[in-house]
Amino acid sequence: MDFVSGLIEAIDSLLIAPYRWPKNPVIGWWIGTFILAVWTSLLGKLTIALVFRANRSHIKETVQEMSRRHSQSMNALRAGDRAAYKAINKLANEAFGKSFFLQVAMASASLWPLPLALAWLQMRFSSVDFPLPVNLPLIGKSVGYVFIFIPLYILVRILLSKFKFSR
Amino acid sequence: MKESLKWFVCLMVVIGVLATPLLMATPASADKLSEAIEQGITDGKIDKKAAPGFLGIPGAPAVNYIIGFLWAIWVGWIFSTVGAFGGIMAGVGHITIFGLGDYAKDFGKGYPMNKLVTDSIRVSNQWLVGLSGLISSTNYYRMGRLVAPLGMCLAIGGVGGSWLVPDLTAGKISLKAYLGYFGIAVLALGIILFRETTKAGQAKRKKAKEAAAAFEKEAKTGGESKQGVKILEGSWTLMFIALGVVVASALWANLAGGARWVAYILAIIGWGLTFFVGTIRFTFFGVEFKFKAFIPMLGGIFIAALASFLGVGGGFLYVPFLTSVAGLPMFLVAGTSGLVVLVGMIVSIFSYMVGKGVPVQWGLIGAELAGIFIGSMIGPRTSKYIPDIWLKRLFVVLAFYVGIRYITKGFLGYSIVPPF
Repeated sequence: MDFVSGLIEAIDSLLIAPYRWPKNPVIGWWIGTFILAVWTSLLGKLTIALVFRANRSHIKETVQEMSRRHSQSMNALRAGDRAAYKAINKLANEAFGKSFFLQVAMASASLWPLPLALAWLQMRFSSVDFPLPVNLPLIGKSVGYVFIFIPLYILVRILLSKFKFSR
Repeated sequence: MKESLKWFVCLMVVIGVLATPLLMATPASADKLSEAIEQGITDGKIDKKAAPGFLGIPGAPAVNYIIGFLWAIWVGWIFSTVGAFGGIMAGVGHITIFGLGDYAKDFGKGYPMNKLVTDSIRVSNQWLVGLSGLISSTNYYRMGRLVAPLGMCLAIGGVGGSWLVPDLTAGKISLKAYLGYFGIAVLALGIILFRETTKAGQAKRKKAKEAAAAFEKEAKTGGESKQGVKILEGSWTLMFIALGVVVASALWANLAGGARWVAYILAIIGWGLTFFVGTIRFTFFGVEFKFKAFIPMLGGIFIAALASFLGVGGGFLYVPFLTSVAGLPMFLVAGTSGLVVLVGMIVSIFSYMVGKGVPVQWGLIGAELAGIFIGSMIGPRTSKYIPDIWLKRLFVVLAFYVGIRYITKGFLGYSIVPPF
């Protein structure tokens, strides 16, 4: 067994427990999935906080470099030096690229628990269909766990963003 | 205020409408996969009793998650040191390192399982780049450096381009051909990087730095970082209609099922309307800028099409396009293009996963995302010991090797560089 499946199975009893709290399985599904979304969001938030802390000075440097090049290019443009503007804008573009992709890579710290949660849901609920009130083209009469989980995850992320975490 | 409200409404409409169906991917994916497995079993190409591997397909290579994780650390390291090349390397991992490419190829051209695995590789690349792009785009949005009409024109092109290409190529392109095209993109990136490492490229860079230094003092005393964008001219109504029409084309293509010509006509109408928007004028930092609305629209079509075809983020193409071709300052295109990338990726992933029913192995994506952020912490710590120029040279060699290998393997059937 691969280590991801091993990890998912190891925490299976913890994740499935809230689904069994109420006797009604539908209520259990909503409670359990909501708690899973909370775990997923919190773990992501915790990891991204750690990564930001580790990379703080480097991010500051790249953002400063980007801003400095931008200001220089705007000054060149205001001074009417079009050639200098184009050349400096290219440097600014390069600085932006560095900063952007660093942040893209770091952003995965916030999202890595999401596919793992989906993998666990797939293991547990891939055979379960959730009926829809209307028959939608291509989708049919029912949807799967992804349809429920991702909106819940987004909702929890929004709710959690309202709370200020001290750093 | 009015400006940000317009932008907000526009963004919410596009993302809301397009993101919702993305969540409905499961039933279609499951059906398509089981159909492909059934056909493989019937034709004797899949052994029913074999141990399940990638996506649970019996006899498919079991993707080694540890290798996936380690490869993702390498991808994260590249992202945080060199940048855009990371997306390409993620693709290399899915195609070569995990052995999925050869497995898909064994089914033969046009076989359903070949198409399914090829599309799954593309979608896996997109999840990896697109999901992370979501968070970073939000950060740039918060920075408030957005030119709403620019974003809308890019999106008009991008939304259409990112559904049309999956629509025209998904299931029709074999892994072999995909390899060849992927190789061309890698080689092109290698050539661009190579030009920067030549003497002429270095001299040009030195000159740019000297010019930058000349404007340094003013930059320090400028203190105008809070000056924003002010739109002077541009037809909002036409832009909204054009955007609405291309979004409708994407929805029709993905949800309506039949009469696909309606979607094609809607996309063409949306693009055509942009030509009537005319010139957009705005001021930024007190300097006036203007651009023809159709230029970012055409760029949007081309870039989104390329990005969604190759399964890599289009961000690394939007910014150079808008700074070099449209001549706009970096800060304006940065945040704006970030959002367009996001919208494009949503449409593209949605098109593959709902419209075409392509499944994804979630566990692998999770392990890879974890690897990427670990790599992003290692990158800044090693880059101070490796000069930029040497990093670029390293990637030039890699890009030439990977590019030539994929092009020859894709179009000739064998690699002219080892391993053959």
